[in-house]
Parts: sequence; C-alpha cells; structure tokens
Amino acid sequence: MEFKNDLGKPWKFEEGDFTVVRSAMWSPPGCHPVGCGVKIYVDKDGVIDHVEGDENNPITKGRLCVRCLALKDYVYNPSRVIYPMKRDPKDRGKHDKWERITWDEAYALIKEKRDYFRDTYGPECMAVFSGTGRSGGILVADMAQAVLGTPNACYTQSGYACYQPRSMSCSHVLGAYYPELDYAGGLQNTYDNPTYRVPDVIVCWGKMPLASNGDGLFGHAVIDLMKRGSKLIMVDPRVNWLCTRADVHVRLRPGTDTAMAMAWLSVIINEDLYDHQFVEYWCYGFNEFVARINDPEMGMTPEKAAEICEVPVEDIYAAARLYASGVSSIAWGLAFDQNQNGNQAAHCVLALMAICGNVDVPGGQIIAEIDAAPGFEEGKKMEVNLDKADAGADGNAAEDAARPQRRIGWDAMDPELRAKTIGYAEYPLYVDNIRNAQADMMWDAVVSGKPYQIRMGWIQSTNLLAPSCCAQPQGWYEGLKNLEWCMATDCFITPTIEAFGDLILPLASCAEKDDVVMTHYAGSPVTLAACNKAVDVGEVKSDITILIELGEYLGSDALKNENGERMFKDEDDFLTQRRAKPTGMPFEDLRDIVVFQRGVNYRKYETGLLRPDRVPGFLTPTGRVELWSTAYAQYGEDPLPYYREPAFSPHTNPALAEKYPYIFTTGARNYASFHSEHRQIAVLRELHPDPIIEIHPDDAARENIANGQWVEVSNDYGRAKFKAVVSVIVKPGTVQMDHGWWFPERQADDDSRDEIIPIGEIATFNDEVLDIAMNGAEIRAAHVHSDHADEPGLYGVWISNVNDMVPNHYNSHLGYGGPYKCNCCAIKPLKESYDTDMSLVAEKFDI
Amino acid sequence: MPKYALLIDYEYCTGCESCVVACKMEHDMPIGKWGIRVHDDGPWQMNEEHEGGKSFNWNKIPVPTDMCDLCADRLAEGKKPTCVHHCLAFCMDFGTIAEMAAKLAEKPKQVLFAPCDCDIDLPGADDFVIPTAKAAAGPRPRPKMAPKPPALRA
Ligand code: SF4
Ligand code: SF4
Ligand code: SF4
Repeated sequence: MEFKNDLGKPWKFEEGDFTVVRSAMWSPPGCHPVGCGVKIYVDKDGVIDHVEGDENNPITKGRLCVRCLALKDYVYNPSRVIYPMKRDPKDRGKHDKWERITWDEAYALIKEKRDYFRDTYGPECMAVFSGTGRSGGILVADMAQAVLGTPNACYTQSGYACYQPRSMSCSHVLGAYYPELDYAGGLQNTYDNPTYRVPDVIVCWGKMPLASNGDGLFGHAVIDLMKRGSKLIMVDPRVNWLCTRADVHVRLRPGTDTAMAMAWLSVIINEDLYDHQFVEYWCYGFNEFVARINDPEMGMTPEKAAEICEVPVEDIYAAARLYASGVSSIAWGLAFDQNQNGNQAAHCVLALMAICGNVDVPGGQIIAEIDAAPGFEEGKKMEVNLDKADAGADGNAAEDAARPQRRIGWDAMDPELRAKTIGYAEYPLYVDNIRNAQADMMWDAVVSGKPYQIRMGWIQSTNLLAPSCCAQPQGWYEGLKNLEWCMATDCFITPTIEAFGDLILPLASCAEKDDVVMTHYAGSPVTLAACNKAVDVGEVKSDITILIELGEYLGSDALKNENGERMFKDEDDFLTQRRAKPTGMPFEDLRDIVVFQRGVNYRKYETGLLRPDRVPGFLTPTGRVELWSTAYAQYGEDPLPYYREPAFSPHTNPALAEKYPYIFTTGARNYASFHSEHRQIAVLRELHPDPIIEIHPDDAARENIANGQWVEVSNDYGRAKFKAVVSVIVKPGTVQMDHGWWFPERQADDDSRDEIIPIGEIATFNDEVLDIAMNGAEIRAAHVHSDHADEPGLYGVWISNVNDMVPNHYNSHLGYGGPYKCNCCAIKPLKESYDTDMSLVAEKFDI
Repeated sequence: MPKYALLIDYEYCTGCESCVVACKMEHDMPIGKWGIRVHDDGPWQMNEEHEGGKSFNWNKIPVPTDMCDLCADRLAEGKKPTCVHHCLAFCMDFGTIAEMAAKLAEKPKQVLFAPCDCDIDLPGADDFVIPTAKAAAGPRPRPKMAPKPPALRA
C-alpha cells in the first residue's frame, strides 16, 4: 500500500491549517549534534501543534526519538523561563524572589558587573561554566574569552571526562579529528551509494549508540547496518540490548578497557592479521609499539588481559580475530573518557583502526577533510605549525583545521592573561587543546580560592549540580556560593541556577532560532543541517544572538572586524561565517535545502586532504599515525600505551573493597532524557520516572534488596538513593546508576537536603598525593562535605546524586578522565519509598 | 471485521518507545494512558555456560492497547500510523492483514497485531486478498509483494 508523504517539499510549506517548518534538532532540547529531521506543525496563532519526523532527512528518514516527539511539551512547559529575570544575591535559592526585567536592563547589569570585577580584580576572576553537548555549549570559550574577556571557560566535568579525552587522543595520535563509524550519512543515497560498503563488523566499545546518539552518530544506523549484514562485537560490562544481538560480547570489568585493547593488539600483531602496507606507509613507531605490546612487564597478552578484565580468554581471541577479519568499524564511547587510563585506551583503539587498515576507507572509520591553509596554491610548499609545544601560541593545527568554528577570543588575548588560565601550568596540553581551564584545578579554585578567587560566574547551559557534568557537586556547591555575582543562560530554572543565579537570560530552544547542526561539531564528514526557526516564544534569544549582542554591548574587541565594525551582523550571518562554512553556501541557502550531506573522500591520507599543506599523510609532526606519540612524549606522558589499574580497584585495594564491595559505573543514557534535561516533561518522565540502580540478583539477595525497592549507596565521598532494578544486566559485584537527576516537581526550598547530607567539614585536603603535575605541583584528593543541612533542597538535587560519590583529581597525567565508570560503593536497602508521584508531575507540568 | 494490521519485527525492536510517545502525542493521551506499550522480556541468560554474544534472551515487543484506533484520523488523510512512521528501528509495518501476513512468512521473530476494526478504505488495500477457499477456486489477482528485506548473512 502507498501512503502520503512529504518527500520533496520545501523547508516551509502549508498543510491544511498548519504551516510546516522542516528543520534539524540540537539541544536545547534533545541531544548532541546528530540533527534528526523534524517537521514542526505551526498553527495559525504561531503555536506548535505537533512535531513529526521529516522523511526528507537522508539518514533519519522520518524516524524520531521520544525527546523530539515531545518537543512541544518542552517549548510550552509551564515552568519554562521566557523573560530575563534578576534576583538579589542575598535571595539565592528562593524561587519567589525572581523579578522580570528587560533585555536592556539585563545587558546594563552585566556590563556594570563585568566592568567592576575586571577593573577591581582583573578579568581572570570571571569564569564561564558550561555543560555537555548543547549548541551553545561549544561557544563557552567564545563567551569567556571574546565576550567577557576572561581566559577561564570551563566544562566542569572532572578530567573533561566527556568526548574531549578521545578527541585529544585523535588529534595527537591519529592526526585527524574523531574517526567515526562510517554509516554513509554523508553520501547521497546513504547505504546504497556505490562508493560505500557496509562494514563487515561493527564494534560498540563502551558505547550504547541507540540511546546516546553521540556526537554525530545517529544511533539506530547500527540497526540499519545489522539488517544489511554487519556483525556486532560489543565491549561492555553490561548486557545492553545490543549485546543480545552481538556475535561476540566481551563483558570486561569496568575501567579495564586499555588492557582489553592491548590484548586485541597482541592477537592481531602476533597472529599477523594486520595491514602491512598501511603500517609501512602510514604508521610511525610500529616496532616500538610491538615491543611494548609484547613487553613482559608493560605489555599485554590475552591471557593476562583475561585475568585483569575478568573475561574468558576465548572471548578476547574471538573478538580480536573477528575484528581483523574484514572491514570493521569501531563506535567508541564515553567509557574511554570516564577512566583515568582512557588516553591509553584511546591510543590503542586508534592503533587498532590504523594497523588493520580501517581508517578512512568505505565502511571503516570516517574522518573529515580539512581546509587548505589560507593562501595555499597547488604545488606550493607550505609551512604548517605542527609543534605541539607552541600550540597555545599559534594554534594546534590539527584541532583548528578540523574545527574551524572555535577560538574567536583566545588568539586576541594578551599572552600574560592567557597564562593565568586555571590549570595551565599543571596541564598545558589540556588547556591548549580545548582553551578551557582544567576542570579539577577550577574546582580547587572555587573551593579554596587558590591560585585566585573566582568572583563572577556565568552558568552557561549547564546544570552542573544535577549533575550532568561534574564530580563532587557538593564541593562545587560550596565553592560556587563564593561567587559574588552570577548570571545564567538556560530555558529553565535548574537547581544550579536556583542556587547561584542572580540573573537569568532566557534561552531559545531549537524551535525558536536559526542554527546549524554540525555532526561532531563539524569534525566529521556527515551532515550540516539547518535548524530553522519555527515559532516565537516570549523574549527568548539564542546563545549566538547573546554572544553577538552582549559582545557589542561590552565593546569586545575580539568581536570586531578589521574596520572596527561588529564581526557578525546577526545570528544568520554568524552561521554563515562560522557554522555553515563547509557547505560553501550562506545560511539562507542551507535553510532552503535543510540538510547538506558533506560527501566523503576516502583514503585522504593519500591525497593530502587531511593536511592544510596538502602533503599526503596525517596531521602529526611525523605525518603518520603516531603509534609512538611524539605529542605524548613532549608533554611528559609515556609515548606508548600502558595499562593502569583503576584507582578504586578491588584488585589493588582489598581494604577498600572490603568497605565498599561493589564496583559502580554511571553515565549510561536512556531514551527519556538528555542528561538532566527533560525531567519536567511529563510524557517522558512517565517512561523513566525514578533514578535507578541496576544490581545483580545474587547481590540483591545478599543485601536483602527486592526488585523495585529503594536503596542507599555510599562511599567515602557521598551517598545517594536509587530504586533497584534487580537484573542480570550487570555482572555480580557491579552496579550501574543513573546520573543527571533532579525532581522539578519538588520545590526549591524542598527539605530533602538534611536527610542526605552527611555532616562533615568543608574542603579538607587529604595528605594523599594523587599525582605530580608537570611543573612538580602535587595534586591531592579533597573531601568536601557541607554541614549546612538546613539549606534549600533545590528540587531534590541531592537525593540521587551519584556524582557526589566521584572525587575530583583522579585524572590521567595529562589531566583527563575520571573514575565515573570504575568506582566503588556499599549498598543498603531502605524501608521508605521515594517513588515519583506522576500525578504531581502531570499536574505541575501539563500543558 | 479487522482489516488492517501492525507487523512488528522484534528481532530489531530496540525498546526506544518512539511508538509509545508518538501515539500519545497524536491522541493527546494523558499520563497513565497508552495506545501501545512495549513489553520487555529480558535480559535472562539462556545458557549458563557462556555469557558472550547471543547468550541472553531479550526481546521487546510493542503491544497495541485497547485504545489503539490504528490512527484512524491519519489513515483518513492517507498517512501511515504515527508509531510506524517514527519507529527508530524501522521494525513496524502497517497494511492489510493479507499483506502483512505475507511479510510475516518472510522471516522469523515477527508478530502481527490486528488491534481493532477499521472501516476506512485505503487506496491499494484491495490488491491483497486473503486466500480463502472461495478465492482460491478461481483466478485471483496476483498480489504485489512488498520488496524483500535485504538478505541477512549467515
Ligand atoms: S536523537 Fe536527538 S535530534 Fe534525534 S530525535 Fe532524538 S533528541 Fe531529536
Ligand atoms: S496505530 Fe496509531 S493508535 Fe495504534 S498504536 Fe500505533 S500510533 Fe497508537
Ligand atoms: S518505536 Fe520501534 S523500535 Fe522503538 S519500541 Fe517501538 S517498535 Fe520498538
């Protein structure tokens, strides 16, 4: 039977009483820049009636996940903030003290505060804090460095444990931006394009792409490819649903990924299953790498890995041989970031991709072409700065070339001011690479006021207390109370904004602004898609508009062009200049076609398209994939991979394991929310009403925990309550907990805080030295407890806050990663039930 | 008489619940009411000897409720049911019972639901005839088969 569809319709069309706007989505609300196609049905009053999936989108073809299906309930949510509001700093935490003001008043207030703090204490006393994945989030460095004039932009997640550790490893080991599973998204007719080939094997390593869609991979493409014949290898401690469809599932102990990857390399190298030609032509340091893998001390064998990872050794052989049996593609996830040893795991996985010849081939790992250096002419030799030590001064060529939308303010900044970036001295590669203050050092700064106090803050699209992205949020809470003034941009008053916000600027959702959704932030040859404005809501503005207007209001030089005029006329002009650039067309043209598929040139290392000087090879100092990393060596890290046992491991720390017998992992995504976003969307909350902990039936029996019972989980750092799901989905001895929970149906002055907060001291630094930074500074652990049990409960944000059990400063030597997925805890059953009352949610948030 | 059916390929149903939410949004259903729900069987271990690939059973099967009207309003406009349109795994199909039954015979791990009567005549619906004894006696129009899904590798 044939059904009606809208194939071939323009970006805006009429249907009955509706105007339909075709668009692509990127949080807020939704997810990372994957850009599923939507049709937004707008009624005659300019109000969204409903949303459907756009069948014109070449990848999603009409499909949508629950979050975009519920878009209307986010846009018109009764608790949405749609006007600028201010509050006296003495009334922080009080919901009824917000007072509506105009945008002009808001900008004037910001200018007054910015000028005062800059002139009184120096610009570095201001910091902009950002969260994960959102369209505005990647503007954090511009907001800090170009708009306010402070070097301190900060993604607060300890060790930047989300994406950046992987992307840093890619830039330095591979010399290209993020190598993604090739799901044909950039090719016309996608899977049917004749240059494409379906991967023989897909590996999902520490990643559940179906729910996460990070950061430019449409997760259900994996299902499309399975239907077309791809086999599946899953490397995951949990039996997520995909594992039940996999040919091989390696259920490794959390945090042991590097040992596993080294073991695969051992099999592939010693059984001679690798691509000799690729190794000979395009890899650097292979012999040293092999020597390391086969080293009796520092190396790894499948047998040794089987012990470390607690898996049958046959699974390791089976996985490695299957991976090496054809064109294989690895979708690698957050587990690489949330691990102190993650830089080495990433190094190994990049080595696997390279030595098996899977980089930049059809069905393998796709990487993006980068622009030629300015002024480049065919045949003319160019000098490209690849000296990573100079990266801060002159730009890191690999990073900049791959992500042209970065760095407006950093370059223009006085080097002396740049040098004051928090954590620069200790972690220079981190700071250079992302132009952010190092998160753990920033935590020290807000908690202890050292090396200097942060006095003005900007909570920019982050709900860090909830926490989508920080370790020890109670410590952040105590520390950020020291902010003398704090502004915020978001769509809702989150617990974080309720706690510290003195001004909130209402942020446009993706239905209310123009934007460009860039898969992998433009670092992957998939799509660039227009997010087309469909409706007006209150007085909301987009991050980009705020950047332009506030930048002008504050007179920021970095946002002026050579003639002293403003660099970006408006939102669309910004999009044309910055985000739509790889399409070669202005935003207005992209809007018309909605989705631009970038096309894929494979084997670009042969043609020079991976380097701005157009010399064949990769964008590393040696021009090759650096199996022996010159960059790691230069920054004081071992140039070859090594396995490091997780800090809270039961293997090396039996005393700790006695006290806290369960390994815990967190950070897994589910369909009903994007981290802490969507908790107030009733139809989504109904799908996943309570924060859950997954626990094995044997462990549940030992602890007297029934399925559905609430439990308290604790360790030395904090405690939290979860509802038990008793299931063999986790291994015995391992539990998995939700993150990103708050309860918007509760009140700002909720009394939930006293029952969860252990009475303790504020900011005690341990004697234990965790790491010696590159300048010799000792990095120490710290415990922060608040004894302010009578403070507002902030929508129950402390009740189920798993991140309170994750300490800061357990990073790699380069300042990356943290023990979010390989930590330890004790569990006890509770008598009380904390089940969400859905009728309360429905009543408060029904639209 | 039921005339149309939903065919679900539960080899690929991932439990994303897009069908659930699409249905609720289409029908403006409040909290606590559903037109379709995903039943969840698993994970449980089939073979205690091994826990690697394919050793756990886990099937998710969306089941239409008594509130499913097969998206009558959409059908009247010639559009597919919204659950089928939005299914992230493309594992739901909709058509006449005969058409869907023919697809059911093409691969295992599928289930067919005919949740309710429906008197809407859709174009093309009569191309498919249930092969009753009477129809089988005389010549009957040859059904137009839907394209086969690509072959799965062994
Ligand atoms: S994956 Fe992201 S863009 Fe796609 S439908 Fe879901 S929320 Fe929207
Ligand atoms: S056919 Fe329509 S009414 Fe029935 S379950 Fe699907 S979406 Fe709901
Ligand atoms: S939308 Fe499709 S894949 Fe998702 S739960 Fe429903 S039937 Fe399953």
